[in-house]
Amino acid sequence: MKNLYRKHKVGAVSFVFLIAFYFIAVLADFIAPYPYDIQFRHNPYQPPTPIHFFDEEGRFYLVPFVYGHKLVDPVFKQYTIVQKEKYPVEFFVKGEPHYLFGFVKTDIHLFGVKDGGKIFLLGTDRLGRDIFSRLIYGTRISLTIGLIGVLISFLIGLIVGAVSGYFGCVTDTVIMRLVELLMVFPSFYLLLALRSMFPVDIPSIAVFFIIVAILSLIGWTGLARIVRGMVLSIRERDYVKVAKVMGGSNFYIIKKHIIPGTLSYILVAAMLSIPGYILGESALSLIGLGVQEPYPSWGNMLAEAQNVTKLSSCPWLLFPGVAIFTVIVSFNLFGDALRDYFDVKV
Amino acid sequence: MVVLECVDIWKSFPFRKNFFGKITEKKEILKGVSLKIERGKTVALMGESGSGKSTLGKILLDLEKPDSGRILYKNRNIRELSKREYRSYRISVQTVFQNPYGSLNSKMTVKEIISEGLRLNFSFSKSEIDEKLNETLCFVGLSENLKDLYPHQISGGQRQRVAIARAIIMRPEVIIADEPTSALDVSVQSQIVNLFLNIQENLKISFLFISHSPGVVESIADDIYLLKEGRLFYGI
Repeated sequence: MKNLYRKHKVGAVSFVFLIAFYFIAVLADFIAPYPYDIQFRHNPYQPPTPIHFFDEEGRFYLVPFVYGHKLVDPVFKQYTIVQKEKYPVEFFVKGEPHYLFGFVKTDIHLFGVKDGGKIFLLGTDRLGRDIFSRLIYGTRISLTIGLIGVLISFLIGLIVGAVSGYFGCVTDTVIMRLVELLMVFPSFYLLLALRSMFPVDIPSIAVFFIIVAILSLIGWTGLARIVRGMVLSIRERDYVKVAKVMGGSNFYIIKKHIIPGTLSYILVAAMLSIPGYILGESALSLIGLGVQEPYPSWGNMLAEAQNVTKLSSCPWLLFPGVAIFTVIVSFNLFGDALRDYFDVKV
Repeated sequence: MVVLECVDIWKSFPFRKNFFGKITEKKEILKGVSLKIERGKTVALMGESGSGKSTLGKILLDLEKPDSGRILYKNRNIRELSKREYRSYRISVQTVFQNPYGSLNSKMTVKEIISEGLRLNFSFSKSEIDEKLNETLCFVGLSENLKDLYPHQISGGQRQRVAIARAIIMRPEVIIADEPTSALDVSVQSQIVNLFLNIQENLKISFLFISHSPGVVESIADDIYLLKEGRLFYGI
């Protein structure tokens, strides 16, 4: 890890980014100042709340504060600052009760304002829901979908590729033609077709697993082909032959000698393919077939930003896009760094 | 007593295929080769590059199938052995390959590599395996400190010793050594040859020594065969 940092600073930084994102996903209830589904009906499309250290007379405050906002034009969503109302931004503030890690009941949030003040770091959406909080909760969907999806599809791809490459001949031909058959479908339409097999209004958690299953069903083929190619070359190595001479069964040889030889590559490929899953989920959610409201995912939050006129007056609706971009770039850079790191050794 | 024998082996490789994958031309490598390896004897097999000596070695190891012909282990065709007998054939016939860089799995430690055969075929306890491992390491002249190193951390000569240790730890009856010294430099070569002589003397293992340089072979072999144009000739 130290070497990795020395040679690939960018990769190491993106690794830290990813760790931070997963950290946020785990602690979402605590970090988000509001629950994802709470609607402040008097604050629709409110712009991000600025945090002040100086008040209107130029006095310095050690504890930063936010002003109260009032909706003056409900049609064009114009807000004015109410200068009388100053709410200090504090850490570990009491708010809505939630379960930390799923079982510790508490009502403490990382930060917030008291006494009826509101803080919307990234503004609100059309129902007055805090985009920052929803973004934090959305991390859970977008990041786990990548990990679980990659896990499933790599398991399938690894086994199919290893079997195909190791046994060769007819097995290889049959499996590879099937894989190619699956690959020729344009993946996005296959995604839609598979999704349409299930009803639209099913519980969020079911939708989540259906999406994961669909994405992994599409995703394993490329990997299977690559693993097969590697296995074809590894099985001709002398140590595989020696293992055979010593009486190792096919299963033993695949498990002990062939799959470990492909692992470093697979790790890199996994890192580089996670963004595909995140984008796949976002795409499905964007067109309304993915994770359902009110549960937020970065994709269905972006769906609100589809309207161009809305977007010009409320650009903060695009923040989920920034989050997707950051995570995907991080995964790619980290994957690249990992690849360079392993290349030196192999 | 003959331990391992091949009778009338024919082998060809496809040379050219047509569009539909049908073989249109093939090259005959072995044309009716018969060879006996007797207990405790060392047989050398010589020939030019491409003459098919390695292929013959692989056929004897049952890594490649001949087009026709039989391989006999203790006078029985290995195709007709029961599962248990086939296992004892697998234990009794071991190999040392030419290139010690390719024949050791770089993801396994020296200890894992050498004891692999024991773990695969016998149910020894950990301490028994360790005991056999230390004994074998000592026999091939490797220090016990190397046990936990990976192949890329030791020298070429040491690697070949690891490969030899792996072959002898199960006390086989025959070792088929495919040019075991040609990837090593001259000073290390003679050490490895001495090790083979030592094994011959102490463990009474038969050898099939595949080589293309007469120098190494002469000092070690009882019988020398020459493979030329697919046929086997005795002596030089």
